[in-house]
Amino acid sequence: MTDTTLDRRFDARAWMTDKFFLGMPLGAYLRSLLTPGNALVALILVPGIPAVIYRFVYGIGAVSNLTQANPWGIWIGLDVMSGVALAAGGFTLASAVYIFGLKEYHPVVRPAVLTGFLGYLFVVIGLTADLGRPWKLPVPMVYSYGTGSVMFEVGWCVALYLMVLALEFSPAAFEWLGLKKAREWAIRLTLGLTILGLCLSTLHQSSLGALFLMMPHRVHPLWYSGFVPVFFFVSAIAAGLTMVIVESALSHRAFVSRVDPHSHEKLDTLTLGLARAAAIVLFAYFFLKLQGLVDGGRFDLLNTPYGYWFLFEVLGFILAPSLLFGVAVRRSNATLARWVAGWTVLGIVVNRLNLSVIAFNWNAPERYVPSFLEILISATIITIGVMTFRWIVNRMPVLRDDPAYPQAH
Amino acid sequence: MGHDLITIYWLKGLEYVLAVSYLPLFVLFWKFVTPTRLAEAPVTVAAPSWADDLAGYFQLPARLFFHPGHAWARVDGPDMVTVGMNDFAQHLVGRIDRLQLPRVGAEVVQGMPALAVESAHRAVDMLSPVSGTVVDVNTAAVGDPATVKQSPYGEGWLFRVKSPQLAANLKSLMNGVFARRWMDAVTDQLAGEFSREELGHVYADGGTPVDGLARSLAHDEWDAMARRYFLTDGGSNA
Repeated sequence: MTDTTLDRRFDARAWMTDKFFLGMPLGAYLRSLLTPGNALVALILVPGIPAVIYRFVYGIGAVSNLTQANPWGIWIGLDVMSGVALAAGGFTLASAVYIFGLKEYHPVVRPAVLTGFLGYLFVVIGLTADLGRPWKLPVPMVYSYGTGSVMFEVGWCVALYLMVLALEFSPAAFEWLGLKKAREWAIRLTLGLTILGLCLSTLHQSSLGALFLMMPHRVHPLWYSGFVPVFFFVSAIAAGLTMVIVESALSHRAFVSRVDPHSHEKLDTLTLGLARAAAIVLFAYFFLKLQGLVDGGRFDLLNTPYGYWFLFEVLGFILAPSLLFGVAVRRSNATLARWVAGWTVLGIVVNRLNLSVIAFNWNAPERYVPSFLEILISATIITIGVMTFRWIVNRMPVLRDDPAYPQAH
Repeated sequence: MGHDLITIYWLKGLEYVLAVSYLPLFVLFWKFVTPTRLAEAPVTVAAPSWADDLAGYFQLPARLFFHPGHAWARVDGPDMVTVGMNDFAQHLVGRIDRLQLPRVGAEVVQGMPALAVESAHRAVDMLSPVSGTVVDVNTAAVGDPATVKQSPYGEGWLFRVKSPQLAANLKSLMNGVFARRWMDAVTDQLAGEFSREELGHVYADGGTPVDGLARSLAHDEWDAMARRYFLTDGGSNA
């Protein structure tokens, strides 16, 4: 409660209307939800939520095609592996602004941190759908550490980083709630949280890749390399940068009323700056992938269907976007940069799916194909994530400053 | 693949070649993704910044050069410039009904009228910030002049000029801190006009400038006021 409202009687109904119903009476707010976009959301969630409940009641075998031979499916490949990589914008942008002093990128930090926070939150939810028995989640956190497991490191890192992201985003929530003192304290923590976030992200982004070092016999030799942890970390930086480009472009279209009217010009400049950084990171990533290929020495496999797919990934999703980002920057073409960023995001998802699903167990007699319910549950989790992002952006100062806190972010 | 000595040496050699060739290629790629910086232009007085700066309410992107007649110029190459009207100009004129731009191939001269903006059946000339040959015209902006208002420094650009005397031309333009000081002076003058009109709570008092400033202040004489600011009235500078 702000100082100015202390002398007034707290009107809970007005507060709810203001904070939750966008200043509209409940009836008008509910009517405002009747849009074609929300109809599409309902189409996914109406069967999707019962499917999630069904999975927790009857177990993973009842809804998925996962087996002992193929224990990883799209929940791991898409929701966890891709989700963690695409949520890397939070640490990438926060480090650029608060540690490396690139202050001009300040306007995109808060949306990037929110994307990161929700990305990780829904990674945990996706992982819970895969693991089951959510009441067991505190076990590795409290009394059975299992320090010999890479998963222990990943689990702890993700849990800690989720807390760091929540704290990094908390100033926006405090501004929304009018809690000035709490906001001041949260702002003071920014630099420390950013450094912690950078350390934790470096650890778990690479550790996810390190998981594959334990099973070289399961991963196709073209994708398997001793450099996989490095590939994961470097590609996560590219994923974070390109995801911020895509997210900011979509946000400026979808949340026109929430965006500073003068920010469109600025966004083009920021987009080209991010595109330049992504071009350089992808260029380095391309050479690392070549080094991994040479290190493996399996050139003979390039002339096979898996080899063609590998070459398509390396040339089409890494080298081509790197060069196209360069062209976009040279021509000051922010639109091209946005399309290339979308293509790169797709490429990162393809890479994670290649490692964990497509080129995983590549020579096993039994092949994994996701079931309809797996796809539906995955779509449900992603849809709820997007809805949560929309709910927060429509209420909290994410895409523009709160008038009460000018230059807050 | 067997691990005999020749195979190992061949693969290791390839790794070293790859690593060593990466370094010069990276330098070349770095240059490729780093557009010609304005700081390297012979007449630039302030280091450019990716960040746009605001001079008061009106946007003044730091990487652009401004003519006192409220046209801007962006250096796109050694002799290539993109031209547009600045944020102040589009706020001053308000709704733009029609844009009259030079045709491709036409010669424009720095400080001479090169385009006209038409609103409410009155046209106001604007000066070209550079000299040279027009090589491209933004037909999208001509078809929909609202583009200029929505994005005066982006999609609302007006025409491109091949300017052989670019370095000399840029010496007459302002950027960076000089452009901000100039815009401060322009807005001070505008604030004075507001005060004379006794409009109540306006920009000078902390209010927000309205769109179509000239019409708000000078009513039927708005075009004369716009010409004064655009330096096309033949009188004193504004």
